[in-house]
Amino acid sequence: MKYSESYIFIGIAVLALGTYLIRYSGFYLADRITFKEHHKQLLADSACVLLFTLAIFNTLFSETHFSGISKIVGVAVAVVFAWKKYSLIVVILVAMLVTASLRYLGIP
Amino acid sequence: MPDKERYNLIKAISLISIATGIVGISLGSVAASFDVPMWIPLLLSLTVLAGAAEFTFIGMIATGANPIFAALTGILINLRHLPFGLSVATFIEKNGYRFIACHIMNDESVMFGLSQHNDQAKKWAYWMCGLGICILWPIGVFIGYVLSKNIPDIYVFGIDAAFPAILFALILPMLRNKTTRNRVVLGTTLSLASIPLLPTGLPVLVSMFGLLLKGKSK
Repeated sequence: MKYSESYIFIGIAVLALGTYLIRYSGFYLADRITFKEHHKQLLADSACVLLFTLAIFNTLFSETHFSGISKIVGVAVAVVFAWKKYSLIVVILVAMLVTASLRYLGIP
Repeated sequence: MPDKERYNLIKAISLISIATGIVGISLGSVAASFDVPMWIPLLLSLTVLAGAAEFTFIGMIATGANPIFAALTGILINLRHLPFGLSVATFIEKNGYRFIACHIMNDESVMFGLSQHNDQAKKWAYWMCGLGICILWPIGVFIGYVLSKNIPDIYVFGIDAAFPAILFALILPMLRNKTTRNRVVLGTTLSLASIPLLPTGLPVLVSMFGLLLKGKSK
């Protein structure tokens, strides 16, 4: 580490404060704008769109590099289980089990 | 909510919180392997409570980046919590607990909240998942740091696959709505296309352009 611990502390304070303000500002704005029914749908959709994209990103990438076949297959199999309306527990366990098994077999 | 449904939800939320705690263990051990002092990952996990931004921050300062620059990068990654707040505010009550409610806002808690069918259940699932992660994440980071290199690689157990799998599972029922589905498809496509063009954190936000598709109710 090139920088002193006190400088890093300031960095963490900036990050924590910035993140808190971002989280709070959504609540703050929502109180001050009156939403019609179709706006509520838009807000629910915005979270949905973000999270779906995040799920795709997390399937395809680990940190910044390509995540590998095992995870993609594991998640895909789990999605089939979710689609067939298995409980969330089963879906999570299937994803982990399939991914772990493929990795055990030496697939990246 | 019927008892059985609630019981299944508690099970799923517990498992996701534990999985998140295990990811916390990997963050702790990464920090230890970089020889970063313990208070840094611990303070991050308590005050920031957003995994991707914490991994990025530690990775950057360990490689000699300016901490303020690392903080700004983390803030960029966390911008997605702004639309999250707008969505979550529709079912969280306006009282003093809001100041805690917004701190425990993360991908999992927002998703568990939105996926429920009425406001009472939404609020309950959001708080349960948010608090579960808020408690287990720092504990995981602490354990990971202490055990450091003595823990096996979490990738061996496929724990990293749990997070996208649960997100997909919770979103699937919402995609029955045609407008939502079209917006999701457009948004995700745009954001994948923008990966080569934009720095980390921004491509996910590009997906918001998918909302420009008009709903039928207008």
